[in-house]
Formats: sequence, structure tokens, C-alpha cells
Amino acid sequence: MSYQDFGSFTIRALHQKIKAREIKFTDIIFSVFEKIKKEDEKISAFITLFEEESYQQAQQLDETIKERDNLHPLLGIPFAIKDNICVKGSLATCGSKILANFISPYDATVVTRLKNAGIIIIGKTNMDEFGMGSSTETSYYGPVANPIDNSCVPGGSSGGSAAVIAYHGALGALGTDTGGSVRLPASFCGVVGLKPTYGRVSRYGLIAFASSLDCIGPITKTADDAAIILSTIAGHDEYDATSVKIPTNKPICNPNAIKEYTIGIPEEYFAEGLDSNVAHVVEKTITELKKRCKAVKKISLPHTKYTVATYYLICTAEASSNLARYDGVKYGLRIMGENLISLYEKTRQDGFGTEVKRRILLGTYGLSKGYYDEYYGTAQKVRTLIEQDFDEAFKTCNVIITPTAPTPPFKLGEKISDPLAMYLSDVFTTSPSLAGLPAISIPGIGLAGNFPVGVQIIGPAFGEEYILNCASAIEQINE
Amino acid sequence: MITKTDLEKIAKLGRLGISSDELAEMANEFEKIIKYFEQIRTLELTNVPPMTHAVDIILEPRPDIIQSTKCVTDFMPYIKYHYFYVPAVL
Repeated sequence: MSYQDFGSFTIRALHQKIKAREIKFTDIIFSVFEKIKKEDEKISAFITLFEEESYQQAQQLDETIKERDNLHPLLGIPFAIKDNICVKGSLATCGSKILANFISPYDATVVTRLKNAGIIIIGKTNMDEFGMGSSTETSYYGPVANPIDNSCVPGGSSGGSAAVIAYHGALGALGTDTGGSVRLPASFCGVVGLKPTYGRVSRYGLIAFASSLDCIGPITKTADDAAIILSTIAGHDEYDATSVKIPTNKPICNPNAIKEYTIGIPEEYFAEGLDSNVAHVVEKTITELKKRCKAVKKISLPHTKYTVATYYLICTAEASSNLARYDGVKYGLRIMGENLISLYEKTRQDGFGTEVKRRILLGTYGLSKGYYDEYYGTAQKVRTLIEQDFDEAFKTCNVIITPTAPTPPFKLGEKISDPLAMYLSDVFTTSPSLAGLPAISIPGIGLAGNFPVGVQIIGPAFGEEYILNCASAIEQINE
Repeated sequence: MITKTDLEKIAKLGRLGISSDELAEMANEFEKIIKYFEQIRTLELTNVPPMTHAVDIILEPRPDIIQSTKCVTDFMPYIKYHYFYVPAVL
């Protein structure tokens, strides 16, 4: 390596160097693109790269840095954005053929806020088609490989964003999380993934999959970096009625705060089906935290076994409705037919991949006459019970700790033809999503084979501070 | 039991063209998934209200101010004289 690997820095550490005027922005961009050129051929983390534009922006920053003061911690930070989030004037494919030529006419609110902070967007990342997958194998642009072991999946659906952070091709990335799509790839790639409370971050400019569940969240190397990004993107947005008017915390993680915390351990998450190596890492992490927190106590989330069924009934129903807009008329792919119905059918047949078709069928079935109450209506009621489980649990604890995934990363192709087995990868991440709660995945203490193991920390609604503090305590122990 | 004909009907409702081979391949998995979903129907849910959203939404109207449409028209593939060209529907 003849250049300094700036991609290996945390955002906080690189910001210190930028603030001290010790480095040039063009050198940072050179460093990350060298890394991308070396790694991305085998990983396929990106769908689009903005190399020329990144150099231009870096040059402008180099020229004007002397005149600037009060530098935002994200100024000049190389950043990757998942390809279902709109960046004005560039492709937003959602990993789908149907949007292969779709150019976004505007910036998502999160992108506007990050641009105002001064990030350099280096590219758009690969993903499961429309976020529908747990392995990043359903993309029209091909699967993403895990940077730790290229024969394994990186987790999904934000596999491109997690992989690029893991191989140091960017310092910060945005993913999206409907039922675990930020946390699962963070776990499989050994990085940090934060799903904020539903409503904390605007969804304006996020291409919808399941609107009552979709969240945008950061993927980073550390909890501290995630806190910096969250504080930048969070806050009410008049373009998203579901974004709330609750002040955002300052981006500071305090690992010592856990002295006052009671940590809840739900027994239902340590049952049959949990890989023994994963269980070992999570238990070791809890043992270490026990020495530093107020108390660790067993709790119960009794409806855990119903979460995957509830989640997939709700998300497929919402997806079948949201994806009705891809009809070949207004934008995206168009395959002409003999009549209008045939135009719709041919466009959607050619434009969607197998998993998206399966979910449209499942959602249409669950919403159809005679089945609505049995499936979708029932799932909505079970969702209430799952939320009530958490309400009850948070009366006696500040955070809840679980494994992020039941297994370490599996092989590419291993589960792709068994959709139910794939859906069960989300068994631990879907319940906070259904309840709208914040949750973070952070590497636990120890390894499962060659792989880090993600520990999931779940907080009460709008309690991101609790989970970030607890995550930074785990990082401190790991150091 | 969900048959291939049932799936064809659902695909029609979803305006989804789907080949006979794809349908045959999907039918078996579809049945397994629906069976898995059915476990939630064993719960006693009388008097449990449905949850549609994680936050209470208050819809606040914003001022109806006309903004530039240039950002939209710049990226439309078929546009002439300020009109969007779409295929004939009749």
C-alpha cells in the first residue's frame, strides 16, 4: 500500500485530521477509490460510482478549507447511499430492472441534510431488489459477496452498504431497514448498523417497500459514527407526515451511562434454532456488560414466535400496494402489449425478479376478498400484542439485548431457493420493526469461526441514546 | 391447498404476468409460506385492536405553494410542449 488507507479511519478520527488541516480531501477520495478498484470487482457493493464528481467536490473543498470554520464532522467524508434512496440527477434503481433507467428528479430529505453537512457521495450501493431479501442475492445487478469470506452472503437487504464499510471503501453509508435490512448485514459484515425509531428520520425520497415499517439508518464502523450521522439526518420533515417533532440527541455516546441501566434478556431469543457459536458470543457479551451495568434480568416477549409470520403478512400486503405504481406508464421499464392490461402484465413480468413477484402474490393473496380478515387483519392485531410485549418489558429495563441473527453468514446460494428459510433469518430483527422501536447491531465479544457476531440492542421508542451508549460500552470492552 | 389456478388468479389481480414454469415453481413454496403464516390464526384476538402504524400520525397540511416543475420535467423521458407523453390507455 503506497497511499494512506483513509477508508480504515472512523468518521470521528478523520474529522480530527480534517479539522487540524493535516490532510487533503483529494487524498481521501484517492484512497477510497483505490480501495474500491481493488475490492469491488469481487464484492459488487456498488451499482453506480461517482468518481469524477467526488474528485471535483474534494478539489473545491481543498481550495476553500482555509476559509471555513465550525466544520461539520461529516464535511468531506466519503459516503455511500443505498440505491433505493434518491440522489438528484442520478440513477435510483432499487436493485431492479424495472427502475434500471430511472433518474431521480430530487434529493431525499436525508440526502439534502447530509449534503448540507458536506459529505462526498461516492456511489450508490447494491441491494436486494426493492429491499426484499436477507442476503443481497436478489439484485438485478448480481449478488454482493461478504468481504470477510467472499463465498458467503453479506446479509441483506443493505448488503452493499455494509460491505463497503467493511472493506473500507467509504466511512459512512445509509441503508434502509424494513425488518432488519440494516442490522442483519451489519451483523454479517462485522460493522455497526442502526435502525432508528420509526418516525425519527424522514422517509421522503426513499422508494417505498412497506411504508409502516421502512426506516433509513446509518451503517458505520462505530456507534459514535452512527450517532453523528443520526443526529444529522433525524428530525421532522414537512414532506413526511410520519416524521415526528421530537428533538434529536447530541451525537455523543457515553459508555459509562450503562452504570445506571438494567439490561433485559428475553428468554424466547435464546431457544432452539440459535447457532451455538452465536449464542456463545452473545452470552459472553452479556457477561461482560453485567460487570458494568446496574443489573441484567431475564424478561419475556411471549409473542416472539409469531413475529416472522406477522411481519411477512404485513410487509407483503404493503409491498403489493406500493409496487402497483410500476405499471410501465409513468416511469421505469415499459413493455408494450396488445392492450393496457397486457402492457401492465408484460412490464411487471419482465421488470420484477422472482422474490418481488412472490411477495406481490403473497400480499395480493393476504389482502384479497375472503382472506383479508384471516391474514392481514389478524396480523395487524398480533402486531399490537408484539408492541404490548415491549411496552411491558420496558417497564423493568432500559435496553434489551438479543442476537441480531440466528446464524453466522451462510453461503451464497444456500437459501435462495428456500424462501421460508430465508425469511427466518429475520427472526430476531422483525419484532422491533413491527413495534417501531430503535435497534442497533454491533459486533459482540468474540467470533463465530472467522466471523464477528452481531449483538442487537433494542431501546424504547425514541431511546436511541440508550442503545448507542450500550453499544459504545461493548466497543470499549472489545478494545 | 393452493393450486396453480389459484396463483394464476392472484397474479391476474396483481397485474403480474407470470410464466407457467414460474407459477409451477412458486406454487409449492407459496403453500409452505401460507401454512407458516397460519400459526397466527391460533391466537385469541377478541378485543385486540389492530395496529396500522408505529406512530400516531397527525396530518398537517402545508402551504400550497407552486414550486418549480423543472426538476420533474428534466428527467421525464417523453415530454413535449409541457405535456407528459404516456401510452394510449383506450
